[in-house]
Amino acid sequence: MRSVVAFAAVLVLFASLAGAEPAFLSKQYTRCTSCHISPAGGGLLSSYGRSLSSRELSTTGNRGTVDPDNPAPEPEAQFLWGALGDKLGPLQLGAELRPSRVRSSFAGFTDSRNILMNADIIAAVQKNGWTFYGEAGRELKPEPTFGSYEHWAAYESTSGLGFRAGRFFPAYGVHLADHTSYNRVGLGFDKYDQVYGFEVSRNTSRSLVQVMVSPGLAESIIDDERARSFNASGRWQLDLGPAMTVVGSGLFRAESDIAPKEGSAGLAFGFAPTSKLTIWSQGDVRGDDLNGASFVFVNETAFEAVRGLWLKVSPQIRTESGPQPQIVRLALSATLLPRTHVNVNTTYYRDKPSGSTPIHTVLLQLHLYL
Amino acid sequence: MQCPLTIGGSFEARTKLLSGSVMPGPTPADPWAGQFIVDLTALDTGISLRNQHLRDNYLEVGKGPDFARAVLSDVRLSGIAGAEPVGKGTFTARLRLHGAERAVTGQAELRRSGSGIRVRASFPVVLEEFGIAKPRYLGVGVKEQVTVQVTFEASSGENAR
Repeated sequence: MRSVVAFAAVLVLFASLAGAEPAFLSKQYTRCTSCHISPAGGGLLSSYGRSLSSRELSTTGNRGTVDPDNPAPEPEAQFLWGALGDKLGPLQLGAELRPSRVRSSFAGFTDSRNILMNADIIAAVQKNGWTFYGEAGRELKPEPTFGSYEHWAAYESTSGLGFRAGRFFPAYGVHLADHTSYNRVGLGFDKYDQVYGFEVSRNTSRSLVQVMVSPGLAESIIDDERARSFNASGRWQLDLGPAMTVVGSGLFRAESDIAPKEGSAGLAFGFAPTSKLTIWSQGDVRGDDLNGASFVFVNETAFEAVRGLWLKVSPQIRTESGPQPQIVRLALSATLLPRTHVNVNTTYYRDKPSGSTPIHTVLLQLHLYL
Repeated sequence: MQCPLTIGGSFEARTKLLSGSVMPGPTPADPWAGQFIVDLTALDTGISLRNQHLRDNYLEVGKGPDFARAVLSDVRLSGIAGAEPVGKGTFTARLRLHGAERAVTGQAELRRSGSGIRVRASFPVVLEEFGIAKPRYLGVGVKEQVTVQVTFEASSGENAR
């Protein structure tokens, strides 16, 4: 029975994938804000991130000389490949679409479906240290609805002190692109696990500290008062070098009317031995008053085979926790980037719950990040 | 060269094109004769866009020999005896970079390595002092001070490696 539950969970889990690319550690980018507006990674790419997408990821991206006297991003790297010219002014805009096909099989049962995982518009304005960020689009919960799961305002001073307030994703560990990774969904950092909260941060050349407090998960504040409870998290990233970093994280969620008190703490380590290889590992202990402690370990090794083709291997394990059996995953993926902001991703997952036959899932998705 | 970023984190620009020869002065107080030369045209940051910006837009290596290479001369060691040049100490030197010449001060560590000496040295460089524009591109930049780190093995009577 537990395996059937796990199979059903897998199908729901693949509802969407969020974008973030910690594999760029191999290019000597240790911080999420190198490419993304959000300090927790994922979501809207910054102009610089878009430029890297064009020049360093896409197989057909521009490799020519940049005009040093023209500070504007090249059209290929802009929203809709520059179709709007400079009409947007200081507004940074992105549209994200992910038509996908997912096929899962388990013990003779097979399920295939086409899913439009994401259909979002994301916008941000940045000026004088301030950032205003908002996303709106189609959410799968599991029925499609329209909503906004991220909207916040933030400020960072020139000395690196900052704050953020609104609905956002708490900073924790390494933010892998695949939200079904056990260190995300297994620790309570799924696609819609944003909080309404307040975050303070300290950003220096060598470290980044983020501490967040919140009256509860955003969904609980909007829809379900019984699930509302105090949340707090902390994340400390220390860069040991341009391509090596260690991250310590902690999360606490107080007891609500329907869920016990829970928390997790973990350590992540990322390093890039070459400019084409990044290895991230994260180990966490998670526990709650009802089911006791469990352990989660995730590794993601990413290799840039040729320009525009990334291969990833990700072994993962989550030990038994209450009614959930121990489960072991092997994920293999290939991502082809034929043009700027166009990704074609194929991922195979083998999830093996303890005492049960494995669940095989293949996910094929076209990611248009316009 | 370690370059801290304005958004946090840093990147390294590397090259192996270091050459030169030096000789201790008559007394420890005298500067070492000779110079070290680094070819800047092959500085590599790991990605092409950053390489292009670094070499062409900011170091402007195409402007001529004074821009295409960095030269360290008039090295004066402090805390490391000339007769037995091993140990840790500080140094001062003249750095010619981007068409300008300024004094620099740094740390050095010299160790015996086979028949030669392994040298590790580092010193800060303030970009503005050498007339190098603030590196900025689409909201991401390099802070005003970078750190130059040098590691080489010096052999008696041979070119430095």
